[in-house]
Amino acid sequence: MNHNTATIAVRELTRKFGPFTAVDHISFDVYAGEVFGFLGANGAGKTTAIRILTGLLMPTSGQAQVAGFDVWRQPEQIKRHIGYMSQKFSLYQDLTPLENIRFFGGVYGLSLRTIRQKSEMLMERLGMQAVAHRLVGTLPLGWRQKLAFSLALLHEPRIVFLDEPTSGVDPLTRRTFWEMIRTEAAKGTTIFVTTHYMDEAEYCDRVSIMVRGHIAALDTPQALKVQFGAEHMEAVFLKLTRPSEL
Amino acid sequence: MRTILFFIYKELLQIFRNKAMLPLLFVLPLVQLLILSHVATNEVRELKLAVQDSDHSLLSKMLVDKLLASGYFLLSGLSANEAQSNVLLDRDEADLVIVIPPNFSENLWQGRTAQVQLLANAINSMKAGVAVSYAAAIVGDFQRQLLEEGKVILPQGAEVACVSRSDVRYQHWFNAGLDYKTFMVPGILAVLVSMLTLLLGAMNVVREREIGTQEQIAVTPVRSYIFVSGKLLPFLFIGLTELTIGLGIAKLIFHTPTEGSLSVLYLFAALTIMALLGLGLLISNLADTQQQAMFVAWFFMIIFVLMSGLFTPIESMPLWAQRLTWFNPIAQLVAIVRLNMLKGASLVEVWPYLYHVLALGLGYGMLAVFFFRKRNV
Repeated sequence: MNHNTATIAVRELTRKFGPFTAVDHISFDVYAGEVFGFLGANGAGKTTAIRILTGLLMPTSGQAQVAGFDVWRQPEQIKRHIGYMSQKFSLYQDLTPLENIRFFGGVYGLSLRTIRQKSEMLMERLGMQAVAHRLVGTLPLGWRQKLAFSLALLHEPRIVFLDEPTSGVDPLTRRTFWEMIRTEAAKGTTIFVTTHYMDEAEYCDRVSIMVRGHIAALDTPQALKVQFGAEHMEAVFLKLTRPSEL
Repeated sequence: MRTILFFIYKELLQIFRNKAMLPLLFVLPLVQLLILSHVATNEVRELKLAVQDSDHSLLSKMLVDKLLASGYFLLSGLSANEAQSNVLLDRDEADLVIVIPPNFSENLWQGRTAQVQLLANAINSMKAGVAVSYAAAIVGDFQRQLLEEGKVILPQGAEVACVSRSDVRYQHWFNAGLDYKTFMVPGILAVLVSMLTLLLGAMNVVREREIGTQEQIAVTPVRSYIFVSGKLLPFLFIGLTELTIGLGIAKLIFHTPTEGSLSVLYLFAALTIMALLGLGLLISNLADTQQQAMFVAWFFMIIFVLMSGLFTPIESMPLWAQRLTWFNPIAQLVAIVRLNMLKGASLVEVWPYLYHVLALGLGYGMLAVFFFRKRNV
């Protein structure tokens, strides 16, 4: 992790929907090679913030740079340099893993030769050679999520956004999935991840917790636990999101 | 532009991998073509004729025989009086009643005006109109025959009113035998190809939104026009394939003439399909699920097909309705396919249609892209 280079720089970013302010003047930096946990209860504004940072939505005010590109002026360049994997299953279920790889490779402008090389490499690394020609829809969820993650990295982006990548996946697969994430981060890729599993927050280098459009806390998991006098991240999360009940 | 090939390849894989799709694309339309071409006919035959003959004369019998010999009528009943005739019409046992009054032959022999009454069941006004005009023509013919054979003489001063001396003979161009199938097959073919591309095109775009992969595509650098063209263009190929198979069936089974140049036919089919796909894309913007898209597309399709000139000539619609058909690509394709196949119209003759279809395609395409953009901001 390199604290000198912010791959995502957000300043006073705001998005309103009519009278409702979904994202309210948030500011933070994410560094190259960092695993950044972006937490928050449902409706806290996480999804809106991610949609702005991935170039899908324009902010109402404020600034944000992603991979060095401005969200106001260069959303198309941003898209070229990020990977994205959503909580909804984002592969084509009626295509095989190889066909999915070829399609997304083509979409990002990779040459056929590169696509072929990457396909072989990926199938081998994921141990999926045997199912390379089976429809993705028939594969176990864990395998599909690993494949989706690998596809989000296919064009070697500088940042990957993972929106609840492990929801519905068994604990063992979640563990191997997080190993993949850490490996990728070690190579210098920035990982921007949302999750509802608080044990996963412990895997992150730094964690931000969003509450009603604001960033209520941002630090390493260790520092947050000390700050809130909590033993687990779950307690930190609950104290921030439902302070009145504790 | 290279990206679009990856899209088209992916779409074709998905379309042909879908087990429900193949029969939908290639079996159902052809079954429709085979069945509809036989049943969609305006010809009226085997009309039920009841006879109320109060004259009981040689001449009245000759008239009835002549009606029955025409092949259009079947004798369905005899009635003695008006009340019985009304019952026959009420019970739908007669489509037409011919009433011959008691003094029919006497009047004819005496050179006075003889009267015949026709009562038609006009629930189906078209059928009734045809029945009456057939019967009237036969009665007129009967009268002329009697005069020519010198059996009766004309009443004084009634020459012009009763008998037209001019002898009209018809020659039907472009469909000499007035074969209804020859007329209908090209039209039905045009409608089937149009319906398929409009409906499936609209549903295909929405499909990706419904299953959530559109979001994945949205975060890639792919432009939205590439995305939608990639989703729609396969249906241009499929529509043209459909047309080819349909033309084969028309030729082999219905012996429909194909007078015009095939390249002109395919050019226009391709342009019309593109206009329809533009409309399909416009429809897809109004829908979040394939089911919604299907209902909206269905709404347009019913209107477009009924106003396509397939069953009823556009020229006999009210003026405002004729204007509306300007916006109907299906109406254009039906007209073009008929002109091409039956008349062998050259490119010069169908030139105005070329501009028309191009304008429709551009119009719908631009509207669709405009709304598509707006939706995705």
